[in-house]
Amino acid sequence: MSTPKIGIVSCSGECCDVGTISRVATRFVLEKLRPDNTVTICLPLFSIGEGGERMFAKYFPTIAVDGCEKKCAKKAIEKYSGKTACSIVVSDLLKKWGVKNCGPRRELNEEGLELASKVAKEIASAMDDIFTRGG
Amino acid sequence: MQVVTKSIGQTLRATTVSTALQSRSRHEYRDYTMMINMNNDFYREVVDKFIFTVKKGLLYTENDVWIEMRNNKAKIGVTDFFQRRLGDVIFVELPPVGDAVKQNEPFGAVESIKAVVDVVTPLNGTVEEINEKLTDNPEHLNSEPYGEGWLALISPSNLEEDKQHLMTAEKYFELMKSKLQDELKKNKKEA
Amino acid sequence: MSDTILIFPCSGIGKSFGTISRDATYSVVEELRKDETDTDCLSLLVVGDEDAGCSVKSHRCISVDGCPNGCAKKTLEDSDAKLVASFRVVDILRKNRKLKPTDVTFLDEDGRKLSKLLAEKIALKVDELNRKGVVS
Repeated sequence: MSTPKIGIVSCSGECCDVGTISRVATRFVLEKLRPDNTVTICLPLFSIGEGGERMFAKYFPTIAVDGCEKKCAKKAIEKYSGKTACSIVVSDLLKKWGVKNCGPRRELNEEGLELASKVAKEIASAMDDIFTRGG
Repeated sequence: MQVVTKSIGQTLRATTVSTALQSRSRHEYRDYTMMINMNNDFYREVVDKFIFTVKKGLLYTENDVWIEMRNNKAKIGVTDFFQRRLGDVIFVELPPVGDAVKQNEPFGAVESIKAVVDVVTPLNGTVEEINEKLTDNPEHLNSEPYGEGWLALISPSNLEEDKQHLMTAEKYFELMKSKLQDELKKNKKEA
Repeated sequence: MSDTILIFPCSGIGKSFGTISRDATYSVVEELRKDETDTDCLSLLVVGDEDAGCSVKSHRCISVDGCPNGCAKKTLEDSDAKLVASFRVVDILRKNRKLKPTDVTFLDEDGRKLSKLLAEKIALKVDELNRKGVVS
């Protein structure tokens, strides 16, 4: 028997700032917001089938955190493990919040960090929702 | 909603979960562990996405070293638990061939960015051969701790007596689970 | 056909090495060799994005992995990319034993140093590839 855990897969897309935000937000959830209930799934490792990433994503709820509408993390999970419990797209959130520019992709500035924190809270809220409704 | 106490192996945690998720989680975790344990060559303990393995048929020490007896020589290495705790191995230091080694004394060292950890000699004897591949490819120790990541061949000098300090795979598996539990408790306190 | 070299870091999220691979790549494509190189999302290849797939077949590619799992390299190989060079953060670490990068989310001082060293190596490789006229 195990404590319920949720896997979070971030796209970490390199081409743009939203990829960096998705990555940092995921790390914030792991380190600060929900450290006991979060398992981060490394997308590159997941994609080559190494580690226990695919198996974990098959048996436990996963949240895909994507930078943009291409939704690579979501598609990867569905390709190799199964349906995601939730999908979060950073660009959609930014649009909702009226944010047009989140700063450099290499190293988030103050504004970028704030946005990453907001996205992290969205992820944590999605996790709570999954726990409440039973996956 | 109810606050329940659940367990991973023997680790105790408290969390708030819905009844539906508890039931689903038990079912899924059972399927997950059954799938993981289908291979008969290893004992396996699952913690989140990490699978800790203990190879059957070998002897072990409490310091996470395994021994395989072959033609009166002991092949030794470190366990999966040892390498997972350490992380990506950057360097492996081994004694020269011909050196005498003593049980329970440092045999060599394994270094990662986290730490440099001594490998404790599992038995008395002489070093016959070392795994030279680890010089340029120390990652073998991570990827195949029971295979390509072996450390050395030792000619034992006092095997029957030394064996009394070694344990079976089954006993080591229990010890490993206990160590995992301690680590998880410690991590939770630090957090 | 463009001579731009595409650099793909693994961006592994579980270890400091992944963050270093990512930062070193940005250093090369945004500063050191910004006219000769570019990067794109490795995850696009994972999901079979057509444009990304065509791009890696028609451009020279460099993989930058964090650890020996070699995810970026394997993903590029599986995509039949024109892989002309591969780097691993652990190899740079082995030559700079005193550096111990531990922070994963953001680079610590040792992480920055390693990233810089790796970026310089990648930049030199780009120069070598362009000098030798290794084309797509």
